[in-house]
Amino acid sequence: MANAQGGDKRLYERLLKELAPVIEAYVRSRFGTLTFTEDCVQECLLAIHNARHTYDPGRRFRPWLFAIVRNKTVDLLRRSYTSERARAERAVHAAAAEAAAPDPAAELAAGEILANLKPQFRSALMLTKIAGYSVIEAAAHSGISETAMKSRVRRAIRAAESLLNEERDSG
Amino acid sequence: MTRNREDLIANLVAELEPVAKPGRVWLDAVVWLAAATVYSVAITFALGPLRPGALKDLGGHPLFMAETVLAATAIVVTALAALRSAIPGEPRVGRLRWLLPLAAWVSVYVVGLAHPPAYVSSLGGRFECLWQVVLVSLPAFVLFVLFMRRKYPLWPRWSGFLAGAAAAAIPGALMQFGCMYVPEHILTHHIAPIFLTAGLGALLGPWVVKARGAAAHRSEGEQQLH
Repeated sequence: MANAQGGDKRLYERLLKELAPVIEAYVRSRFGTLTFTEDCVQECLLAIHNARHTYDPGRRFRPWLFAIVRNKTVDLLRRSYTSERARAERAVHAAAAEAAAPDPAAELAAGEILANLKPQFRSALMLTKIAGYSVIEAAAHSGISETAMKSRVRRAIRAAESLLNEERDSG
Repeated sequence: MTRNREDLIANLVAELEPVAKPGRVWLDAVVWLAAATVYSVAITFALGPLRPGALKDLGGHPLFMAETVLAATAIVVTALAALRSAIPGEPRVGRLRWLLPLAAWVSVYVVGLAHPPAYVSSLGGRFECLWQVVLVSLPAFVLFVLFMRRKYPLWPRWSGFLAGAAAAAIPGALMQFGCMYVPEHILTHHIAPIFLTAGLGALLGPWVVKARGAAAHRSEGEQQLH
C-alpha cells in the first residue's frame, strides 16, 4: 500500500488481486452466500482505493484494511439491496423452489455472523439481503407484517454490526 | 476471479495516482485549534466584555487556573479524538476514554453546585450566552468537518459528535471569562451548548462528515505536473 501511495501501478495491481480473495473469504465466512459477497468485495476494493491516502505506512495494515471491510459490509447490508442475480436465479427455479425448498433461508449457507444471530434476525437478513426477497415478500413468508419485517431487518443489521465490532475489538 | 472484479481492479489501477501520505493527526489538531481559538476569542469578546475580575481570579485562585487548564486539556483531547476517529483502523476499544477530560471538566461545575468556589461571581452576565456559544462554535465545526473530510471517516455520527463537542467547548470555556461565574448557570448556559452542538454534529454527521476520497490528495509532485 505504501508503494501504491507513491503511484506504483504494478505493485498496486498485485495488492488488489491478493486482497480480493482475502476479503471474499472474510465476508463469506461471516455472511455466506455468493451474490452478496461479490458486491461486497468490489465495494471494499473501491473503498480501499478511495481511502489509500489515510494509510500510515508506519502502522499495521490489517486493522486499517479490516476497518474498511467491516464498515462496507454493514453499509451494504443497510442499503435497500436487491440482488438482481438472486432474483433472476429465484425466477428460474421458482416452480421447483416452491415444492423443493419451502424455506429458502435454511438452504443458504449461513456465515459465522449470521449463524450467531437470533433465528428471526438471521431469517430476516437472509431473506431480504441475500436471497433478494422484497420486504413485503419476506414478511409474507415469515407470517408477519411489513412494518414488523422492516423493524426486524433494522435490528438484525445492528446486531450483525455489533458482532463484527466485537470481533474487531477482541483482536 | 470474476470478469467484473477483474475490470474493476484494472480500472482502479489505471486511475492510480500518487497521493500524499497522511500527515500527523496532532499537527492537524494544532492547526485547527489555533484557528478556532483565535476566531472564538475574537468573536466572543467582540460580542461582550471580559467579566469584571476574571483575570484577577485566574491569577489569584489556583483552583480557577486548574479548572482553566482542565478545560484546555478537554478541548485538545476531544479535538484529537475527533481527528483520529476519521482514520480507518484507529482502535475503537475504550474510545469513550477520550471523553474523560471533558467529563472531568464538567464535573467541576457539578461539584460546584454543592461546594461553590470562592470566586463565584454574578457580574458580567451576557445576553443569550447559550446561543452565543452555539453560534460561535458553528464556523469552527465547519472547519473541523473540512479537516475530517480530508481523511476517511467510517463512523460519521461519532466523528460529528466529537467535532461538535470540540468546536463548542472553546467558546464554552471562554464564557467562564466572559459571562457570570455561577456553577448552575455555567452548566445550563455554557456547558449544555457543548452537548447541543455535539448532538447536532452527530445528527448531521452522515451527510457532512463524508470522505473526499484519495483523488483529492494527489501528491505535491503530481499537482505541479498538472
